[in-house]
Amino acid sequence: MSVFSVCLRILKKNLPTISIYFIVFVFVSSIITIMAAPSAPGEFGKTKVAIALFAEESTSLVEGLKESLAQQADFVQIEDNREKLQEAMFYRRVHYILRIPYGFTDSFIKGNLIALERTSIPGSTSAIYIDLRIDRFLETLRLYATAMPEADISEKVAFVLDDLAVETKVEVAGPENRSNGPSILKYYFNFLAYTIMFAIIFGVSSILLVFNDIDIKRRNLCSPLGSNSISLQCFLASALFALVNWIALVALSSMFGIDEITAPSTWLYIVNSLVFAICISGLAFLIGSLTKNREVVSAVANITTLGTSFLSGVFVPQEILGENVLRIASFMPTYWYVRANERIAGLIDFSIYNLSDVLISLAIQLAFGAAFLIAALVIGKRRRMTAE
Amino acid sequence: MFFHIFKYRLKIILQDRSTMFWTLLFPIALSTFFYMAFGQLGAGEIFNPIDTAIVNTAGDEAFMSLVETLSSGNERLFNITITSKEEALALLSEGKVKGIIETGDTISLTVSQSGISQSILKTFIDNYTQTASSVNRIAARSPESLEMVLAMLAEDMNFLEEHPISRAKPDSTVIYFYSLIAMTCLFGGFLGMTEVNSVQANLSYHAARMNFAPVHKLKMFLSGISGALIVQFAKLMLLLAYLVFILSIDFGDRIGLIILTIFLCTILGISFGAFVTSLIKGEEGLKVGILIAFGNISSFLAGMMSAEIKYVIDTSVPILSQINPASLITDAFFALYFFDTYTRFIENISGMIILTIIFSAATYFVIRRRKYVSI
Repeated sequence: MSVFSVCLRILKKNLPTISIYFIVFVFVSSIITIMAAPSAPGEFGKTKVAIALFAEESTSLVEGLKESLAQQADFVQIEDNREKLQEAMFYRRVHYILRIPYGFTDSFIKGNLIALERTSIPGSTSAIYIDLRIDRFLETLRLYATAMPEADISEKVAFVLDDLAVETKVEVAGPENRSNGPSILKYYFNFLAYTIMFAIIFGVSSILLVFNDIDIKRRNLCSPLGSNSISLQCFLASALFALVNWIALVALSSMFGIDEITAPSTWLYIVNSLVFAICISGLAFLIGSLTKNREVVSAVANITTLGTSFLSGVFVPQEILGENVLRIASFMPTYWYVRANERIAGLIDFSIYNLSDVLISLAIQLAFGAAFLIAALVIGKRRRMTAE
Repeated sequence: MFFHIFKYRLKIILQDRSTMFWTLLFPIALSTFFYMAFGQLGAGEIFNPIDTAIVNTAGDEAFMSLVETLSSGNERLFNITITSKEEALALLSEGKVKGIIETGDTISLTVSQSGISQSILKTFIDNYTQTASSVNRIAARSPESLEMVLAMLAEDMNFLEEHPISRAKPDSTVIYFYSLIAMTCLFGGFLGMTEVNSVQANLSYHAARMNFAPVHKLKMFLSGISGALIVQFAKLMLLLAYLVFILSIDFGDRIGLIILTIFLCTILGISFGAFVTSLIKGEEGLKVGILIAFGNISSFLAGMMSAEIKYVIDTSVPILSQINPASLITDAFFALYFFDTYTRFIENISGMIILTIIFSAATYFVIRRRKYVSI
């Protein structure tokens, strides 16, 4: 096992660099996991849209409008400055800006209406949602204004608010009505694909770079050790390295999911990530046997990791990605890894029938791993045959 | 002599494959990934008619005719399917409709989850019932005006007037691409590093030889730097062309100013690299590490991983955005794209120029007149 122990020594030498990457990735993945954590689903909750409201007058009409809007809107306090407002809307801190001009109440009562100034995201659902409410309030008030011209405006507003308090009962039915929502672990394990892929490709390539050096290769071919044995020992060391990374990342998952440790889905996530780690060590082995210098390794590691992660739904959920993107992604193991995670998150009961889709994804990842490894061995063999 | 050195520096820069990768191929690849992954990101908030199942148990003609009016035409609110209760529940569980409206003594709504489309359905039914409640009250209080009120219900009033937010679409995905340009500019620091390495006698054999030549060091350095500037500017223009023409990313229409910004940030990136190289003692590996780490952190803070982060920092720690080169660059493009006035753009450009002057001056004072008796 002399080759094996050399491999471990190479890894040890590269440990500082690898651990810097590792720590950065873990830090980023923790932030992303916490940010992505879903809110608990429960009873039907009316959506509230963030709006900024500026009233240039304070009348009972304006106060009534505010009160009735509060049912559907969260009022965001923001400085009345054009650029600040533009920016807040650009980043969706507010989705709707409503400005009630001075003299609006008066114009409303007299019937020569000044329009309210609305700024919304063009074509958006939130704009329609808020428009409906504002229209309803003013429409109803207009009815009362016509029907009871003698009554005081504040009395009419009170009637309107009373009418607008009538609410429809909403029943929640169907598949989403399950006891616990998608767990935070899904997000952690999805992002794990990025971290583990980069770490393994980077670590394994540093081993293979040494052995691929032409002089060392020639020297090794003179040794009584068969070239298959050398390859195998290298692969074992790579697999061990992958395993250590995997254990570390799974251990870190308890940071988020310690209270879910007994759930069967947690164990499925863990198994899925192990299969992925095995598959990626095959890929890393292939990349390592194809590259010749460190700069190329870091280029290839970055492009493959970022590329597959973006296209397979590690950063952006698969359901948001377009169909064509997903079709391309299905030629990458990461896609099947994320897909398995999504399926696990959606499982309610764990019968074999329900698990079949997850198992297929696992099998495809293993097949990818085997294909990478075979390709690496064939290329390695062919390289040895050619005089360089 | 200037052009002689310039020519050879140009050849050296163009053959540096690693730098070529990080400052041209990598940004192009990353922008392609962004494009493919973020393509549909904004689509979720655009309104599409809500797929709704209607179960008309009570045979409520008035309600049905209203629903039908609202589900025809281009600006319709709903796509309706009139069906039986069982069928409707099946459609709901398959996700083919967002909700089921059932007529009866009171109109009821069944949904499978909370969301804005479901909330609109609810608001719509609320409105219907609320109108009925208003009409009843009016009928009780002033029956003589009932007829007039019912006529008014049919009128379509417009209480709101749209004031557009900007000339441009409020689409925050552009921030990812702007900050990607910022990252590329900072990676241009590698070219600045190479130039300093090739004139500082203690940093490379090449530089030690160059210092023998009877050429003023500043002249030597400037000819190298001009080569770097031209190459880096060309690469950034290529990247810009790729973003604009292939990926159709919107940069607005102030083309001259966009190119000016690209030019200024080219100088900023290169001077930053020269600054780090001349100031920090240590191996080249360490300097490369610092340039990469700084480039990444700086563009992370400028919104390259999440546009939200840029806004949080701009509003809560504005000073950080004012000194972070990637934030200044990203914000300059953003200001050109989104704002009507030039105030914000000028602030950003001034920040970039100040940083460039600081970096260049520091580099100049470190590398000038450095002589070695022996190395």
